[in-house]
Amino acid sequence: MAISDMTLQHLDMELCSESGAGESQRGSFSDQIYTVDPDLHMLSTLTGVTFQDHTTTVIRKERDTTVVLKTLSGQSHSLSFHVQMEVEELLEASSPTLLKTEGGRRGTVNRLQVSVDKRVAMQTDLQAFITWVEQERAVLCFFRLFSEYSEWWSLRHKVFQHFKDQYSDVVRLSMGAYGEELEFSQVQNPGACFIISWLVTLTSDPWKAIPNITLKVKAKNQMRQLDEKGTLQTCGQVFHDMVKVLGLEQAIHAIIRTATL
Amino acid sequence: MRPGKGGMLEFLQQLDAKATKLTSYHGNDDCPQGHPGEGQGQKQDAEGQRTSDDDVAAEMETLIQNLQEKKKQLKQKLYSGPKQVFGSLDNKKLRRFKVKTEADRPCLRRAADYIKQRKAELLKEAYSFAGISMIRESESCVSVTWGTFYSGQYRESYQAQILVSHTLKIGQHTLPAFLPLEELSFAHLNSDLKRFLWAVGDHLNAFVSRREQLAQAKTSYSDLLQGDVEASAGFDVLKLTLRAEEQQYHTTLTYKDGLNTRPTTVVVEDDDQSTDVEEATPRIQEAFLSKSLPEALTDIATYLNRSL
Repeated sequence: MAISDMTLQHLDMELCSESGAGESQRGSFSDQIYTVDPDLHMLSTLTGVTFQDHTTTVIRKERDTTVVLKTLSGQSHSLSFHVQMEVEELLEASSPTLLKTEGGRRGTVNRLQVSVDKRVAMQTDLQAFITWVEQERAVLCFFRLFSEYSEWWSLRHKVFQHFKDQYSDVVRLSMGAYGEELEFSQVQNPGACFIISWLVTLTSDPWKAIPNITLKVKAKNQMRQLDEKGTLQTCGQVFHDMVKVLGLEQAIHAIIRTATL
Repeated sequence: MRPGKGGMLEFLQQLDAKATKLTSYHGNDDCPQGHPGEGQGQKQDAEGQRTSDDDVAAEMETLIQNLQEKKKQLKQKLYSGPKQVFGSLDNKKLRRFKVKTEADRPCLRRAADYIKQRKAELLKEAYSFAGISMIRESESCVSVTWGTFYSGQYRESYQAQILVSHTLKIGQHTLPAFLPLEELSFAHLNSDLKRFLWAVGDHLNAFVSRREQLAQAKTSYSDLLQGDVEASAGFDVLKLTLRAEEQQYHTTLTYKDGLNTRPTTVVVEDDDQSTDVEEATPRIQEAFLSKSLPEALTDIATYLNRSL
């Protein structure tokens, strides 16, 4: 039964009675169900993954096993994913289609295909990770890491957007709203341009999503010559220390204010 | 025994058949006390036996009645289910669906609700394919199941109950003893539940990985690995002996932390500090440190055999 959200939305609109009873729908099935169903709400909050579709089609039945094509799609912190896998499941004598054993899953993943949100799909680290995941058919690892990665991605976006909104005249998101860099400089006579770079790299063995936040300065030669105290050179380190002491947001506030006075 | 969701009706029918057989021994359904019948099968010699048979019969009667009621309900559901009401459940078709008769509306609503319910169940099921699933057992108890996965296969799962009062506590669980549960609970359970859940999952999956790497290695390289491999409960310290021709290399692999699937230290010893061992040691270490156990042994086997 592969009924999509859109279909359910149409049915809802079509089926709600004239009296309405407040039932005319305020969002897709996925949006609603994760607010209405306490178990789903809990699952989505605690894993960072929100499934929107789960379909299974039987490819072939053999004597002891069934081979199915399973599609799992959804979002993690607003980054979409689409996972398709060919799973070979052992049949249990009493329940022909269920492969649950002690509450868990059994089965072999013979093939795995993963695609993710366009906004991050071209990121080299992520591409390498997905290639590895598909090769190893490492489904769990994909969800584990993708959830972490998207959390960082989403946090970065929120933070950068916050500063763009707050200091709109001096802050620029040069790589777009979802990009890795936030730039700021003085409005008048901008001698130096400061760039906060927030990378989220994926390291392997074991796979981890590691944020790397640095401050760089681009300055004209004249400015560098005038900089007797060498402030420009050390501001990267200064920023790094500030983050440790004040926390990221306060550190960014401070550095933007100081630099753009 | 629990029936699969799809086979509920079948299951009930089976039970129904069994129950009918049973009632034919103990009289008919109208007689709740269930007198021992004249039918075949049951031996009624002692008074005591008859009473316990009566009890069993009475129990069976109630069970049968409940199940028959359920069967009726399910049949009803099936006949007013989405397939009956909407016809083939095809996204394209359903998106063009229009209500023809007002009187049909409540029935259609019910069928649509059923579709939604099924979808919600499927979404919950999806989580178990991603490694973590949870069920709220009661107001104060949530049961978490962690799945493990290695080399393309779903492996065993582990469970824990999280007791919810003014703080969260771990209740019953099937987590292995070497897992630093107390440490993790203390560090994360009440401050960042998500982190706690992922951390436990990470430990479990790393453990399964180490265990299965060793199992694979033992099967593929039983000649290279001489004798038994000593392993700690969590497979984070392995003592193995590599044998090539006359040389033996006693190797200890340590995986720091419980989260590593490659060893963090490799120590190679030999009985008589020969030059062969000295030369081979760095190669052996390199292999174990950078590859999975079976892959490392492939490298080592090639190296050791080549140098002869």
